Amino acid sequence: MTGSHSSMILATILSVLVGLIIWFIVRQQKRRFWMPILRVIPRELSALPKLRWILPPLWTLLCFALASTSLLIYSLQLADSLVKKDDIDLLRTHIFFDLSPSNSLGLSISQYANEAQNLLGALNGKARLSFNTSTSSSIYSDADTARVATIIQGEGFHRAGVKIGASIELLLKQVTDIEQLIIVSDRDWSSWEDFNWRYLEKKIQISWYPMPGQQPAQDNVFIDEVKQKINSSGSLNSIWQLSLRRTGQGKALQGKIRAEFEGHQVLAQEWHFDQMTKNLELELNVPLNGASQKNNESAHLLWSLSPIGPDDLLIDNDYRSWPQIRGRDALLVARPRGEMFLDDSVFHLKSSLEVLGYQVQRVDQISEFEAQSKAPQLIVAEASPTAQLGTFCPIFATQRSSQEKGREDLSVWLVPGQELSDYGELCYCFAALVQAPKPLAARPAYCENIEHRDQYVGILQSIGAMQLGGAIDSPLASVAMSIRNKELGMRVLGFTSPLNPMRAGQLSYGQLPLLLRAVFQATGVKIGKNQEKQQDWPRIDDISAAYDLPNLALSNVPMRESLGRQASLDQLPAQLSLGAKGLVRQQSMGGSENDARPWIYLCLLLVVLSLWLEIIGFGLSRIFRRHRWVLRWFVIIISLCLAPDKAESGVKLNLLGYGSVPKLNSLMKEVAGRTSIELEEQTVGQLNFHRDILREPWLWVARPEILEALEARDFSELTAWLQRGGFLVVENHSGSEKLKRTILEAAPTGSWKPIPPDHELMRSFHLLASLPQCQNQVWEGFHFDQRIALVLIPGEFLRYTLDERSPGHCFDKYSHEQAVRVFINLLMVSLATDYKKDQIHLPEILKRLR
Amino acid sequence: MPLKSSVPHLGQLTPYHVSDPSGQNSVRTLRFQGSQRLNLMRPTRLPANSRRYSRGDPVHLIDWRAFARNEQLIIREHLDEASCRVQILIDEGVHLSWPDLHLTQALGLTLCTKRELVWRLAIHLAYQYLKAGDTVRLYQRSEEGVRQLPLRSTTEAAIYFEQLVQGGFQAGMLLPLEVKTEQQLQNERCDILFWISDGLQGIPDWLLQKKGSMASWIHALASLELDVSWLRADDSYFEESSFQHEYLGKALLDRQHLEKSIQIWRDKLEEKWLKAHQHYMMVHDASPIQQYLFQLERSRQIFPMAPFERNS
Repeated sequence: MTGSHSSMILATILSVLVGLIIWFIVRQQKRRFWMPILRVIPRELSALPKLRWILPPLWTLLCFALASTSLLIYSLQLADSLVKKDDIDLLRTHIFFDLSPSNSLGLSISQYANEAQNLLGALNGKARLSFNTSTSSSIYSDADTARVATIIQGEGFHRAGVKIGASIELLLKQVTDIEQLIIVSDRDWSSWEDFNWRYLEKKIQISWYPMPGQQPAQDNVFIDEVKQKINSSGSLNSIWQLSLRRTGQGKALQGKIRAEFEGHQVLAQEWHFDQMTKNLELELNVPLNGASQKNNESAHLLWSLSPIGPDDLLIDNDYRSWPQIRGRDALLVARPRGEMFLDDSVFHLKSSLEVLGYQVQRVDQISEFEAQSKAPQLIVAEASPTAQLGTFCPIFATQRSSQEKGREDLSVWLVPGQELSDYGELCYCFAALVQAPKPLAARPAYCENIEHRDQYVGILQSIGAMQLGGAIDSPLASVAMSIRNKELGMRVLGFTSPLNPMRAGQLSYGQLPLLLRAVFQATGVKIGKNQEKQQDWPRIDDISAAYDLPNLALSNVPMRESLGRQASLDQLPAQLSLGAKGLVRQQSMGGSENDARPWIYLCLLLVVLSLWLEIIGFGLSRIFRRHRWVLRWFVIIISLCLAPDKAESGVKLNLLGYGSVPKLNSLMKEVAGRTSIELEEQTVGQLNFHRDILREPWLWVARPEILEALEARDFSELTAWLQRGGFLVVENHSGSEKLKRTILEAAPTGSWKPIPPDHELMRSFHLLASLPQCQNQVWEGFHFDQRIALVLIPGEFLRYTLDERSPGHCFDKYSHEQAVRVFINLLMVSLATDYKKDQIHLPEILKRLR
Repeated sequence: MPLKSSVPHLGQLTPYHVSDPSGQNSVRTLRFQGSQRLNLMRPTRLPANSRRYSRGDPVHLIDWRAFARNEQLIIREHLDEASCRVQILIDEGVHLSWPDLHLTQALGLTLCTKRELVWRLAIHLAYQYLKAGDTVRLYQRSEEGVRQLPLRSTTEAAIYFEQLVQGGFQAGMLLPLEVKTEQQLQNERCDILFWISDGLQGIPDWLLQKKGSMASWIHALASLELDVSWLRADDSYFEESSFQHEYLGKALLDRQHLEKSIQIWRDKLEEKWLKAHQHYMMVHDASPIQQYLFQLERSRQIFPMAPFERNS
């Protein structure tokens, strides 16, 4: 236990004790009554002791006791965890070997195995040992420690990633009595990110052992994604899109990529990374032998990178993909009505189906569709107003299906086109599909003269179709009518309205995919992860969820393993290192952001301070019971001691555009001597405009041209400052129409006028008869918000007030005294505006006048 | 003593409560006024003023004609009243502020302080004697010295009373008290002296030795001092002296310790006073006004020489 901790505990206990004592004293004081007649009763009655025990109210005492106990326990527990001895001896120790791909950086499996053997050797005999690897869930006990190198070498690095948190959770379910856990892993963030070891550290001592010999990550090239390119018509071709990534930067990289299919090399091409390039998209033509693909369901493409020069991870240079994207196929029969999505509403239907995972092939007429080995799983046929049965109705599906009756996953959607007036053909098609495999010789009688949607829906219902969507028993409101042809294993859906999204229509663009998804769900077509997984080769982020997966070694390396993002040291547990002294556990760097100690110290300090203040105040009030002022003065003196901040009452002269800093000696004396304001010696002088110059309440500008030349941004800042209450003095003006105009534009509510003789400037301190003029130029003021915000002064007035020897020719007929008076009035106006108009002074003025 | 009854009590006493319930008004003529009854040794014919001769009476007052008629010696005196000098003395002290606000709030009662009671009694007596035509001097005696309240008429007394009522009976701040010396007070001659005090500071020696006047002590206490049933055992009670003695309520209530102690103290004081003077009366703020007035009346009859009667 270190000194600071013990003192903290002591302070806590002391505070609690003092709190208790004071509490009882205060309680006692509350119920004292003065009784003067006690003076005359006989003295033999024993006087009350000053302190005595009164039983406190139960609940209050319980709360207090609870609070103080928890505070005490908290502080004790903190001290306990801080002083816990980092003993790595004589503990039930478990070692977890992370064999994820990122660990292979700079280490071969045999090196890894040797280091593991060394680690176990260092621990052997000191603790009861067990270990496991991330490759499998089996746990090895003491007896197997000698075989660790063999075991690890036999397992090798796996291609799947590891989430240490999930693996440890599994481990702790199997082994419950672990006292020390050593995790042998690198600093790969994707492994560590789900592991809340700080929580676990309360129960188990957790250490991290990085394998010696692991190199720092530099540059890793890996395959991010491989996709087969889809034609605009929706059919697949032999062009493959490959995206390569690298982790480092600043170095040009090159190498070769090879593709193998069933043991035969089908591609070999070079690639090249620039210094700054991080992503490389390649389009490669990989001709595949279709026949061999058909024979072997598990045949796949193996892409392998071989960079020239160093590469961090070799394990992720291999990437596998299916030879063909195994999506669901859909056939869309619809006549285009215009250019793409602007006019062609079926375009959105196609996009929506693609979003839902279909490979959609679109044809204008059914005759364009070339019969392939398999019929597509979904056929959507749109009946346009003039279409004949033969152009859209997918009768071929029934013929084909009669050959493969086992297929259960065929759906045919019949969609009415926009502005369809005759539903006869649609009805005919529906009937033919329902009746299949029996052929329908001619159009059935019930399909004659259907001109209305309601009739069409009614006929579908009478055929035996079930409604899909809408309210019960109101088929007119349904989305589609559905019937299943059990003989062919085919579902036929007759949509009751066009699947055209419109901005103002019932079906919005956003709703269309959702509607289709709902239709798929209702008709029992599964859309989801299962299908998507089949499309891509598995990439397993966490091996602990996939121990039992066959062919795990063939999975692709997760991208985050390849990226190799490193966790910082404070995110990792205490580090173990094996040196000459054996195993040494370093103190954890982590936890500084979760350390509550400063707050606890602060709270305790406040508690102790307030308690002592209360003690002193209480004591004073008891001693000076008759003199209440003592306590008041005590509070005042204490508060004065705490924050004696110097009050600032000075005004600085704030200058813009003055060549030399003027000497203010005489002016300072005049101002300080006459008024209660002090003009500070230090001036804020700048040649160019800067934001800081607007911190003072006023600003002197040497020439109006300086303001005219300001940039728009600076000028708007200046006007904003003026409107906030700033006071601007501009010297050497001679008309300055431009400045006046721009100011007026910035603040249109203000107005320019010469300063009248009854202006507050003439009487704010001294009573002035007139203002000094220069070459017939008068003083002008910009009045804004019922005050004067800007003064234009002719000539160099400031120099004139400073009592310099050659103040210029302008103000020759005026004395220095007059100038000082005007300056003081200006100062007063800038600080207090028209304070003399305040009616608050009126009674006093009237009193003096009387 | 918690005040619950609707009977007017001394805490509500005003100067206008008439102290002579018999309705016997004092004589106010050009020559004579006041409450003091004088037996002037002058012969008179009025039968109402006659009495039997007793040895020592002047012979010239005997009504010889009546003796001739019925052989009884009858003396006819001329009776008249004259003003007497009344001195009212109040003992002022910090303890008169009791029961304080802290206590009354804790008890949930509205009670007048002893100071209020004392001043109500004093102004009432002053008003009544002034009304009877007597000369009244009202003194306030405290640690800081002796102050006199100049009282010349009933109107003045009434005004002072109103001021006191409005100002919460802080006499020292409200009334135009004049500074006097202790010696002046002791040397001043008077016919009747009322000492209104709670007795916590004891009886001054000079009062016990005072001769030549009728002295009456109106022992004014607070009702909470006489009846200590409001005391709670868990609270503590302290006195205001510099020693700061503090007692636990439990100890005070134990075997009626406080009650008994107060009773003993009162008995001792009464005995001591009655050794020197004739009249002692104990009142508190809850005693009914009528009872107090009745006692005041009775005091004329109890004593061999009533405080209101004196032979010239």
